Amino acid sequence: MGILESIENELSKAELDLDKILFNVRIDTKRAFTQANLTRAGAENGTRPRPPVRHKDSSQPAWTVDPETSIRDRMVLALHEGAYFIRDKTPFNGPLWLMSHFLYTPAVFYNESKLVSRRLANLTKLLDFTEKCLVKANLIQSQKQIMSHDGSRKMCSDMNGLEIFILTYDEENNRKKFKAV
Amino acid sequence: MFSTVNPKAKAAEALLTYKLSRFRMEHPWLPVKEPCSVRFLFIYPKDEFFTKKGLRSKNLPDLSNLFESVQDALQKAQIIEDDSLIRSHDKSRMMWGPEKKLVIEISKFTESEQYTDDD
Repeated sequence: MGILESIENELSKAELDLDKILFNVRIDTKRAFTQANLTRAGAENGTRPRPPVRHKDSSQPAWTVDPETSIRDRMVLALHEGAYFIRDKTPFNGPLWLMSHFLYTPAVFYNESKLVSRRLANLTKLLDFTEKCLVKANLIQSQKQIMSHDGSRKMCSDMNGLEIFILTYDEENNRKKFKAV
Repeated sequence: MFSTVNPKAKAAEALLTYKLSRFRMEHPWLPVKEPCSVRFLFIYPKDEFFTKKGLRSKNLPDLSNLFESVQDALQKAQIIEDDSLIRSHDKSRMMWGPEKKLVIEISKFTESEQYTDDD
Protein backbone atom coordinates (compact mmCIF):
# COMPACT_ATOMS: atom_id res chain seq x y z
CA MET A 1 0.00 0.00 0.00
CA GLY A 2 1.42 3.40 -0.96
CA ILE A 3 1.83 6.24 1.52
CA LEU A 4 -1.13 8.17 0.11
CA GLU A 5 -3.49 5.20 0.27
CA SER A 6 -2.49 4.54 3.87
CA ILE A 7 -3.05 8.22 4.75
CA GLU A 8 -6.41 8.04 3.02
CA ASN A 9 -7.34 5.07 5.22
CA GLU A 10 -6.27 6.90 8.36
CA LEU A 11 -8.24 10.00 7.48
CA SER A 12 -11.43 8.19 6.58
CA LYS A 13 -11.67 7.16 10.25
CA ALA A 14 -11.77 10.80 11.40
CA GLU A 15 -15.53 11.20 11.64
CA LEU A 16 -17.24 13.38 14.23
CA ASP A 17 -17.83 11.36 17.37
CA LEU A 18 -20.02 13.22 19.87
CA ASP A 19 -18.46 11.31 22.77
CA LYS A 20 -15.18 13.02 21.98
CA ILE A 21 -16.49 16.54 22.62
CA LEU A 22 -14.65 18.02 25.59
CA PHE A 23 -15.92 21.56 25.38
CA ASN A 24 -18.51 23.43 23.37
CA VAL A 25 -19.39 27.10 23.55
CA ARG A 26 -21.35 29.47 21.36
CA ILE A 27 -20.44 33.12 21.67
CA ASP A 28 -22.43 36.02 20.37
CA THR A 29 -19.63 38.57 19.93
CA LYS A 30 -22.02 41.49 20.33
CA ARG A 31 -23.52 40.11 23.54
CA ALA A 32 -20.11 39.10 24.86
CA PHE A 33 -19.36 42.81 24.61
CA THR A 34 -22.64 44.37 25.72
CA GLN A 35 -23.43 41.98 28.56
CA ALA A 36 -20.30 43.05 30.32
CA ASN A 37 -20.29 46.06 32.59
CA LEU A 38 -18.59 48.64 30.41
CA THR A 39 -16.35 51.26 31.87
CA ARG A 40 -14.65 54.04 29.98
CA ALA A 41 -11.98 54.55 32.60
CA GLY A 42 -9.20 53.06 30.53
CA ALA A 43 -10.20 54.97 27.39
CA GLU A 44 -10.61 58.32 29.17
CA ASN A 45 -7.23 58.45 30.77
CA GLY A 46 -5.50 57.07 27.71
CA THR A 47 -4.07 54.01 29.41
CA ARG A 48 -4.07 50.56 27.92
CA PRO A 49 -7.33 48.60 28.24
CA ARG A 50 -7.42 46.90 31.58
CA PRO A 51 -7.77 43.16 31.92
CA PRO A 52 -11.23 41.98 32.97
CA VAL A 53 -11.93 42.04 36.69
CA ARG A 54 -14.29 39.65 38.38
CA HIS A 55 -16.65 41.44 40.80
CA LYS A 56 -17.03 40.07 44.31
CA ASP A 57 -20.39 41.81 44.71
CA SER A 58 -22.95 39.42 43.21
CA SER A 59 -25.36 42.28 42.39
CA GLN A 60 -22.83 43.52 39.83
CA PRO A 61 -22.39 41.94 36.41
CA ALA A 62 -19.80 39.19 36.56
CA TRP A 63 -17.13 40.96 34.59
CA THR A 64 -15.90 44.47 33.95
CA VAL A 65 -14.43 45.11 30.56
CA ASP A 66 -13.14 48.27 29.00
CA PRO A 67 -14.93 49.26 25.77
CA GLU A 68 -11.57 49.68 24.10
CA THR A 69 -10.74 46.06 24.82
CA SER A 70 -9.76 44.25 21.66
CA ILE A 71 -12.00 41.64 20.07
CA ARG A 72 -9.45 39.04 21.13
CA ASP A 73 -9.72 40.05 24.77
CA ARG A 74 -13.50 40.00 24.55
CA MET A 75 -13.35 36.53 23.07
CA VAL A 76 -10.99 35.38 25.80
CA LEU A 77 -13.36 36.82 28.35
CA ALA A 78 -16.31 35.01 26.81
CA LEU A 79 -14.34 31.77 26.68
CA HIS A 80 -13.44 32.20 30.34
CA GLU A 81 -17.10 32.66 31.14
CA GLY A 82 -18.07 29.68 29.01
CA ALA A 83 -15.47 27.51 30.66
CA TYR A 84 -15.96 28.78 34.20
CA PHE A 85 -19.07 26.83 35.04
CA ILE A 86 -18.31 23.49 33.50
CA ARG A 87 -14.80 22.55 34.44
CA ASP A 88 -11.83 23.33 36.59
CA LYS A 89 -9.22 25.76 35.41
CA THR A 90 -6.62 23.34 34.12
CA PRO A 91 -6.18 23.44 30.35
CA PHE A 92 -6.96 20.43 28.20
CA ASN A 93 -3.98 18.15 27.68
CA GLY A 94 -2.88 16.19 24.68
CA PRO A 95 -3.78 16.33 21.02
CA LEU A 96 -7.06 18.06 20.20
CA TRP A 97 -9.41 18.59 17.31
CA LEU A 98 -10.77 22.12 17.11
CA MET A 99 -13.92 22.71 15.11
CA SER A 100 -14.85 26.38 14.81
CA HIS A 101 -17.90 27.89 13.17
CA PHE A 102 -17.46 31.58 12.42
CA LEU A 103 -20.94 33.01 12.22
CA TYR A 104 -21.96 36.15 10.35
CA THR A 105 -25.33 37.75 9.78
CA PRO A 106 -26.45 37.84 6.12
CA ALA A 107 -25.70 41.56 5.89
CA VAL A 108 -22.06 40.87 6.72
CA PHE A 109 -21.73 37.48 5.04
CA TYR A 110 -22.98 38.46 1.59
CA ASN A 111 -22.07 41.36 -0.66
CA GLU A 112 -24.45 43.35 -2.87
CA SER A 113 -24.25 40.66 -5.57
CA LYS A 114 -25.39 38.08 -3.00
CA LEU A 115 -22.02 36.34 -3.16
CA VAL A 116 -20.00 35.57 -0.06
CA SER A 117 -18.16 38.77 0.75
CA ARG A 118 -14.41 38.73 0.19
CA ARG A 119 -14.04 41.22 2.99
CA LEU A 120 -14.42 38.46 5.58
CA ALA A 121 -11.13 37.48 7.18
CA ASN A 122 -9.60 34.41 5.62
CA LEU A 123 -10.32 31.13 7.35
CA THR A 124 -6.73 30.44 8.38
CA LYS A 125 -6.41 33.79 10.14
CA LEU A 126 -9.65 33.10 11.98
CA LEU A 127 -8.41 29.65 13.02
CA ASP A 128 -5.14 31.10 14.27
CA PHE A 129 -7.05 33.81 16.14
CA THR A 130 -9.28 31.22 17.81
CA GLU A 131 -6.31 29.08 18.82
CA LYS A 132 -4.60 32.10 20.38
CA CYS A 133 -7.80 32.97 22.28
CA LEU A 134 -8.02 29.42 23.61
CA VAL A 135 -4.43 29.59 24.83
CA LYS A 136 -5.03 32.97 26.45
CA ALA A 137 -8.22 31.73 28.08
CA ASN A 138 -6.20 28.82 29.45
CA LEU A 139 -8.42 26.23 27.80
CA ILE A 140 -5.46 24.73 25.95
CA GLN A 141 -1.75 24.88 26.72
CA SER A 142 -0.38 25.45 23.25
CA GLN A 143 -1.50 25.89 19.65
CA LYS A 144 0.61 22.86 18.84
CA GLN A 145 -2.01 20.67 20.52
CA ILE A 146 -4.42 21.32 17.64
CA MET A 147 -4.06 18.45 15.21
CA SER A 148 -7.14 19.02 13.10
CA HIS A 149 -9.50 21.80 12.05
CA ASP A 150 -11.95 19.49 10.29
CA GLY A 151 -15.44 20.96 10.01
CA SER A 152 -14.31 24.55 10.63
CA ARG A 153 -16.27 26.96 8.48
CA LYS A 154 -17.36 30.52 7.96
CA MET A 155 -21.15 30.46 7.94
CA CYS A 156 -24.19 32.65 7.50
CA SER A 157 -26.30 32.77 10.65
CA ASP A 158 -28.71 34.95 12.60
CA MET A 159 -25.90 36.36 14.72
CA ASN A 160 -22.30 37.46 14.53
CA GLY A 161 -20.36 35.10 16.68
CA LEU A 162 -18.36 31.97 17.07
CA GLU A 163 -19.18 28.41 17.95
CA ILE A 164 -16.31 26.27 19.17
CA PHE A 165 -16.06 22.55 19.71
CA ILE A 166 -12.96 21.10 21.30
CA LEU A 167 -12.73 17.36 20.79
CA THR A 168 -10.19 14.71 21.62
CA TYR A 169 -8.01 13.79 18.69
CA ASP A 170 -7.22 10.13 18.39
CA GLU A 171 -3.60 9.70 17.51
CA GLU A 172 -3.51 6.01 18.33
CA ASN A 173 -3.52 4.90 14.74
CA ASN A 174 -0.47 6.98 14.02
CA ARG A 175 1.33 5.61 17.04
CA LYS A 176 0.49 2.00 16.22
CA LYS A 177 1.78 2.48 12.74
CA PHE A 178 4.97 4.00 14.12
CA LYS A 179 5.57 1.07 16.48
CA ALA A 180 4.96 -1.42 13.71
CA VAL A 181 7.75 -0.02 11.56
CA MET B 1 10.34 23.37 5.66
CA PHE B 2 6.82 24.63 6.18
CA SER B 3 6.55 27.31 8.88
CA THR B 4 6.60 31.07 8.23
CA VAL B 5 7.94 32.26 11.57
CA ASN B 6 11.68 32.20 10.92
CA PRO B 7 13.87 33.19 7.94
CA LYS B 8 14.43 29.54 7.01
CA ALA B 9 10.69 29.06 6.81
CA LYS B 10 10.28 32.25 4.79
CA ALA B 11 12.78 30.83 2.34
CA ALA B 12 10.80 27.60 2.22
CA GLU B 13 7.64 29.57 1.41
CA ALA B 14 9.51 31.40 -1.36
CA LEU B 15 10.69 28.06 -2.74
CA LEU B 16 7.16 26.70 -2.67
CA THR B 17 5.89 29.82 -4.45
CA TYR B 18 8.58 29.32 -7.08
CA LYS B 19 7.67 25.66 -7.57
CA LEU B 20 3.97 26.44 -7.83
CA SER B 21 4.69 29.24 -10.31
CA ARG B 22 6.74 26.79 -12.38
CA PHE B 23 3.83 24.37 -12.28
CA ARG B 24 1.54 27.09 -13.56
CA MET B 25 3.89 27.90 -16.44
CA GLU B 26 4.28 24.27 -17.43
CA HIS B 27 0.60 23.37 -17.20
CA PRO B 28 -2.40 25.24 -18.54
CA TRP B 29 -3.98 26.57 -15.36
CA LEU B 30 -6.43 29.34 -14.68
CA PRO B 31 -6.45 30.63 -11.13
CA VAL B 32 -9.24 29.20 -9.01
CA LYS B 33 -11.90 31.89 -8.73
CA GLU B 34 -14.64 29.94 -6.98
CA PRO B 35 -15.08 28.85 -3.37
CA CYS B 36 -12.90 25.81 -2.78
CA SER B 37 -11.84 23.26 -0.21
CA VAL B 38 -8.18 22.58 0.28
CA ARG B 39 -6.51 19.64 1.88
CA PHE B 40 -2.88 19.87 2.86
CA LEU B 41 -0.81 16.94 4.04
CA PHE B 42 2.45 17.93 5.65
CA ILE B 43 4.49 14.78 5.70
CA TYR B 44 7.63 14.65 7.82
CA PRO B 45 10.23 11.91 8.09
CA LYS B 46 9.75 9.69 11.12
CA ASP B 47 12.81 11.01 12.94
CA GLU B 48 11.54 14.60 12.66
CA PHE B 49 7.94 13.78 13.49
CA PHE B 50 8.61 11.77 16.64
CA THR B 51 10.95 12.20 19.58
CA LYS B 52 13.25 9.36 20.58
CA LYS B 53 10.60 8.29 23.08
CA GLY B 54 8.06 7.87 20.28
CA LEU B 55 6.02 10.98 21.13
CA ARG B 56 5.06 13.64 18.61
CA SER B 57 7.89 16.19 18.46
CA LYS B 58 7.25 19.61 19.96
CA ASN B 59 9.46 21.15 17.30
CA LEU B 60 6.75 20.71 14.68
CA PRO B 61 5.05 24.01 13.77
CA ASP B 62 1.43 24.95 14.47
CA LEU B 63 -1.01 23.58 11.94
CA SER B 64 -2.58 27.00 11.31
CA ASN B 65 0.84 28.52 10.54
CA LEU B 66 1.44 25.77 8.02
CA PHE B 67 -1.93 26.48 6.39
CA GLU B 68 -1.09 30.17 6.17
CA SER B 69 2.27 29.52 4.59
CA VAL B 70 0.93 27.25 1.85
CA GLN B 71 -2.07 29.48 1.17
CA ASP B 72 0.18 32.50 0.74
CA ALA B 73 2.24 30.56 -1.78
CA LEU B 74 -0.87 29.38 -3.63
CA GLN B 75 -2.08 32.97 -3.88
CA LYS B 76 1.30 34.41 -4.88
CA ALA B 77 1.67 31.77 -7.58
CA GLN B 78 -1.92 32.50 -8.65
CA ILE B 79 -3.03 28.90 -8.31
CA ILE B 80 -5.85 30.41 -6.28
CA GLU B 81 -6.88 33.95 -7.07
CA ASP B 82 -7.53 34.90 -3.45
CA ASP B 83 -7.07 32.80 -0.33
CA SER B 84 -10.37 34.13 1.04
CA LEU B 85 -11.97 31.67 -1.42
CA ILE B 86 -10.80 28.79 0.77
CA ARG B 87 -13.77 27.53 2.74
CA SER B 88 -12.43 24.39 4.37
CA HIS B 89 -9.25 22.60 5.40
CA ASP B 90 -10.93 19.30 6.17
CA LYS B 91 -8.65 16.30 6.56
CA SER B 92 -5.52 18.43 6.46
CA ARG B 93 -2.90 16.90 8.71
CA MET B 94 0.68 16.75 9.77
CA MET B 95 1.77 13.16 9.31
CA TRP B 96 4.91 11.12 9.10
CA GLY B 97 6.08 9.20 6.07
CA PRO B 98 9.15 7.94 4.26
CA GLU B 99 10.19 11.41 3.09
CA LYS B 100 9.41 15.08 3.62
CA LYS B 101 6.57 15.95 1.33
CA LEU B 102 3.72 18.37 0.88
CA VAL B 103 0.50 17.19 -0.74
CA ILE B 104 -2.00 19.82 -1.89
CA GLU B 105 -5.50 19.00 -3.05
CA ILE B 106 -7.95 21.65 -4.18
CA SER B 107 -11.57 20.79 -4.82
CA LYS B 108 -14.76 22.68 -5.49
CA PHE B 109 -16.63 23.68 -2.35
CA THR B 110 -20.25 22.69 -2.74
CA GLU B 111 -21.68 22.81 0.80
CA SER B 112 -24.37 25.20 1.90
CA GLU B 113 -22.93 28.05 3.92
CA GLN B 114 -26.08 28.56 5.93
CA TYR B 115 -25.62 27.63 9.58
CA THR B 116 -28.20 25.31 11.10
CA ASP B 117 -28.30 23.86 14.61
CA ASP B 118 -27.63 20.43 13.11
CA ASP B 119 -24.13 21.52 12.07
